[in-house]
Amino acid sequence: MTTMADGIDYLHVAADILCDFLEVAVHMIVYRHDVYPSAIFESRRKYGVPTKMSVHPELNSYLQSCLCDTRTLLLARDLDRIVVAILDTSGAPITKYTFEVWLPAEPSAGGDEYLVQVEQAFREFLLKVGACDTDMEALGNCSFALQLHSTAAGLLALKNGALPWVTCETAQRLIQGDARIVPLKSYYCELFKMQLYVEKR
Amino acid sequence: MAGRRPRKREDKSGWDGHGGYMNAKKQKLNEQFESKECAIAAVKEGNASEIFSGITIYVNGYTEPSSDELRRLMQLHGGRFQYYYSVAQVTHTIASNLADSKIRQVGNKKIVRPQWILDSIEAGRLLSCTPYQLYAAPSGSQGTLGFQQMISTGGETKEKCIAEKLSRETGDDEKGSDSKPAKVQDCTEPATSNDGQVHDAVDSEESYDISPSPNSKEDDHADWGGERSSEEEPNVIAVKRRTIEVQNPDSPKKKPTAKAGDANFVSEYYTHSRLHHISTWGTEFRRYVTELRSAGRGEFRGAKKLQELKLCGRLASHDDPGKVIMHIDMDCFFVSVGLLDRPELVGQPVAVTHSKGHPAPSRCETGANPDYERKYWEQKCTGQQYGSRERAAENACTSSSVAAGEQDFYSRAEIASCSYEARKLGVRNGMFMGEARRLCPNLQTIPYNFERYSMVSKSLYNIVASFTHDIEAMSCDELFVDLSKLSKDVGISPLDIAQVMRDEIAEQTGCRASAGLGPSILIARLATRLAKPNGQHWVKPDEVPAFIHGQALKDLPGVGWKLGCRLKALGAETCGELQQLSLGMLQKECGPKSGRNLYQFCRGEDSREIRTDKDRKSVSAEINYGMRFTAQEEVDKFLAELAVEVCKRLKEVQSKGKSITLKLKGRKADAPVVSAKFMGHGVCDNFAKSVTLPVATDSIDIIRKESLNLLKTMKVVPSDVRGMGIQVHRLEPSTKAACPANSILNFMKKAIASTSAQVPETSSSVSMQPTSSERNCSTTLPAYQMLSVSQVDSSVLAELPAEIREEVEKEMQQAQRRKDLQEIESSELLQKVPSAGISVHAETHAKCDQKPTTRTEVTTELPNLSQIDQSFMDALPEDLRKEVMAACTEKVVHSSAKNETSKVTRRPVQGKKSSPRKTKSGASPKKHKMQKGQLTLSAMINTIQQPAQAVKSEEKHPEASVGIPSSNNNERGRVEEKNSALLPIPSLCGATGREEVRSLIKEWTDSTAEPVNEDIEMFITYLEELVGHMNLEMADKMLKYFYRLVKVQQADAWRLALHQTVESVQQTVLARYGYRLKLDFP
Repeated sequence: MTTMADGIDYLHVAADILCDFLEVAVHMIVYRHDVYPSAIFESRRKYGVPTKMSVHPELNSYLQSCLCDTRTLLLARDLDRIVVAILDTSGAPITKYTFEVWLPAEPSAGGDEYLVQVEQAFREFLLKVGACDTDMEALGNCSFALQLHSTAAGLLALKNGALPWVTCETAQRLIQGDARIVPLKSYYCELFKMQLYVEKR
Repeated sequence: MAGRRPRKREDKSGWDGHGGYMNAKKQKLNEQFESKECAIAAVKEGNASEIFSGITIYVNGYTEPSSDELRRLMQLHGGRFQYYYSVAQVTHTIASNLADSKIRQVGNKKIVRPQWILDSIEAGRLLSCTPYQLYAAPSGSQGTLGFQQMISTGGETKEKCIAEKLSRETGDDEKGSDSKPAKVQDCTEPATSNDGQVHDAVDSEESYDISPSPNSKEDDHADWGGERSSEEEPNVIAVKRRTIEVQNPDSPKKKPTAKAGDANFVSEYYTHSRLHHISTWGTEFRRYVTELRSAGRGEFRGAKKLQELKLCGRLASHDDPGKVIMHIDMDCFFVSVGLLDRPELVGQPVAVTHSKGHPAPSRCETGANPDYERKYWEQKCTGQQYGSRERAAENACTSSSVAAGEQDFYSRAEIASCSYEARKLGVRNGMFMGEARRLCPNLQTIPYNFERYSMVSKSLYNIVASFTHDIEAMSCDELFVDLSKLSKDVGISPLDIAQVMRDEIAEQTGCRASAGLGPSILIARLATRLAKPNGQHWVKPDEVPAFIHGQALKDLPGVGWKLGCRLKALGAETCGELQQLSLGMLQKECGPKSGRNLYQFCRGEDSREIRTDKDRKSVSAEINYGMRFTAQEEVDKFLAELAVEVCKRLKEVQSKGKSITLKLKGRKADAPVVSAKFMGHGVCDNFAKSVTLPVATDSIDIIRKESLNLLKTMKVVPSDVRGMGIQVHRLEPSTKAACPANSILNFMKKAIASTSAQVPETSSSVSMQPTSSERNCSTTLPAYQMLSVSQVDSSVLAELPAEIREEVEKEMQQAQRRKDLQEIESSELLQKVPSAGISVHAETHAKCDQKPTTRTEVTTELPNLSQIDQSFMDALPEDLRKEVMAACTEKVVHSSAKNETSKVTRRPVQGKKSSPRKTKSGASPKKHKMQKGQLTLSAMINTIQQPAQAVKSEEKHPEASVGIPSSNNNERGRVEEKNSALLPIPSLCGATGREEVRSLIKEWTDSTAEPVNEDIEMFITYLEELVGHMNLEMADKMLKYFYRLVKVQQADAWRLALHQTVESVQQTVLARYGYRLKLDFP
């Protein structure tokens, strides 16, 4: 399944860079919604744009574990979406950031072996995340959850994962009321396809 | 006499049937001849000689003197006489006139007039028979004429001959004795062989007039015929009295004079131009000396001889003379070599030249304007006296040239060398022949003899090298020798050494050399002036100041005509006068370097050392003869040939040059188109342009390219080009180690050669093979794209600077990847062929399911098998080839099967040119406007649904529906194109890019009052596809755009359409994502 052109496994490349980006994006989203005190975030430059990254070790280790398993699913080609759900105090999602990813059968760098265009795209994703108008009501009074949309096979693959994953309940999955989709960004290249949209009321 | 009559009688009596009798008779006659010879020789005491030894003549017909007399003379002077013609024995046929049939019988033997024998006896030695030839045998360089025209007759002889002929025909046997029979003679001429070759060679560059020697008795424009070179009697030494290089002006040459632009002119020119070779001898000898030195045996025969002589007491011992340089210069080299064969000319004014300086123009070019050139040269002469070649100023020359009659100016052959006798009369080297002839009417001319020059030069160098290896070769007849060490070692005076050397040179070569000795190269050279001819002069160090004081400035090295004039303006014509000027002033006037040189030279100071291994400063090739172009291509081609020649020479001297100069001679604006000298360059303007390269090169390609560029900038009309030369300077030694592939370009070229075999014509025949398109080609060398890592010599890469190496590597990797991609894509396409069919728009019409998987927008435009270039197929890898073949066949089957069901014409290539990729997007707004004023979207689509027309604007959005992996150049294009193969990209009538789709929508809304359902459905389908393809962003934006457009329209029909669209799309989004899109409109 993997491409070994030029001795590079582009599937791994795709998974790695996606996870790398997702980490940054999740931090950014969490920061944007004030899930944690802003003190634990520090400014960093990623993909050429300023971002906020948590320095809280536990949060970081949690995210890393999640992304580790995300990577596993990506490599298994069993990841459909990764969702950052902002939950209200009751645990119901009020805003969902959905990264829909798709990996081609044979990923390759195409003409972009220095990933310049990928980086450019990631930058846009991050900026869109930052610029997205959020529901200010929940600010400071919310938590977040990471949801991976996969298959049963994917769940099996995560048996030995970093985190014990559980299946989402519908209540955690769906935003109550009349939510709408705001597409933020779509990008495709020969390594992967990804689009980000926000679901919110 | 006695022999002839009996022969005839016996013939008549029938004896001739017996061959044995004839043989016996011939033998007897021979014996008689020999016995008589002795008797007569005894009688004519002292008069006898052996000048004709080895020559056997046969007299044919009437001659004057009679055949008997000739027989007597032959007996007397050591020759033989045959009564019967025998090819084996007879060397010369003597005749005054000869019938056609007889000439054929004589074959290749020489036929000579009897006068030859008389003159030879008179001269006391064997003369060359060439001037006496009745006619010449056909030589290689010219065609044969009918004999009637060629028979040369002089005045009375002719009539006599005719009379003789008639009388013979009437059967008069008795004529032989008392009438004066014409003699047909055969004559050998060994010396001509060389000449013949030379003329052949020179033919291509120089034509010469026919002109009998002026003091020849036959001044009636006799045709001597061509040179004979083929037949030669090795044991006969004939000395030509006059060499006459002749050529029948009317004779059709077998080889017409070559002209530039003819195929291989350059190489022909250089292979044939002996003058060119001679000019290269200086270099050759320099190399020869270097070789001698490096061989370094250290055994000098000449030096030993000196020591022996000293021991014998013939040479006095001498103290160490300090530094002594000797300059050896052969005395009028060409002439003295030429005279080796022509001792009879010694003491006469002789010049070496091509032409005879015939006063009447035997070949005046039509359209030529000799007056113009004459005036031009006259003006030049007044100013400069034939330029730098003219050594001593000869005022006579100037005035005479002005006064020269028009007749005298015709011959423009230059004199290469002239004897001292001629020099006394004012003839100079480099003078035009016509002019020289006027100054010296009985000037004898001899042709070049390059083989001889070469031989003599070699022995000259060998002799000198037998004394010492401290030699600096200057040219074929001129060299410097450092005698300091030799003189010190053997303890002999340099003058004595010079004398011994010169004696040896004279002894071995037969030519005389003069030697000038002095403490420096400069003085030695100037001293040679005093030494000439055939002498030697030593300017001792303490004599230098006095010696230099009187020297003319223009004799100094580096002082040419221009500088001479400038110095003259400063009031200095001799070194003494120049000494008055300050260094600063000289440097101001002549430049810092030459100013300093002059300052030193005029004081007799010369710090230059004998340089045995002098480096070349430049390498060039220049041709100024035979340049008559008609078209620019000819000029370019010629220049390319010159470049090849230059490169050849560069490689010979193992150098590379950094700077390239193109020299051009263009016809002077007011000069006549046809030059007076046949194919000469006439009066010209000279141009030169240079370019400096970043890296020294000896690559043909680079030099050719740069020269052509230079040529372009010069903008000379092809027909006005009269001379061209490429010079490469700023030379660097090219080390062998660094140059298996000495330039990137070279190595790229190699790579092309190998790759082009592998991936030929990717762009042309098979559309599914993605190729680099033109745009890319213009920026990078196509070669780069074809390189793969394996094709690059890693050692070459290692030599490159880091950045370049990286670039090359990257480029190669990309190319490799692209290649891989191509394969993937093509294979994928091939897989699709059977399933997806050819066109997919059909599905839209058929309202097929909306599953994106079936909605393949890919159209595979496989050509028929027959359309594929076989060479391309051959070049493909085995498996790929099979696939392509299979696909092509399948396509045929498939298409015929689908033909009825599909509304769309399947024939993909219809209406297209070779490559579908070239088709512009049918969806592009401009096109639509042009096509129709008002159109429904579906109408548009109908018109464009043939994949062929359908559209793809590859310029902006390569991911277009036409699934041919398009030839995109930019890398983005590549990515998308790849994707399009992997996953079909949704498109609206082929439009995929944001702007494209927008403009298409705008077009649609603008042009249509009420949208047709079909169109709306299409639009909806497109948007839904976007949703399905994870491109909510695009779907969202297009919806919003459509909304804005509809708002402007304010038409209910459109609002309805909008509503319908939004609703459908929302349903799709809802189905897939669980929520609707957030839109600000219902």
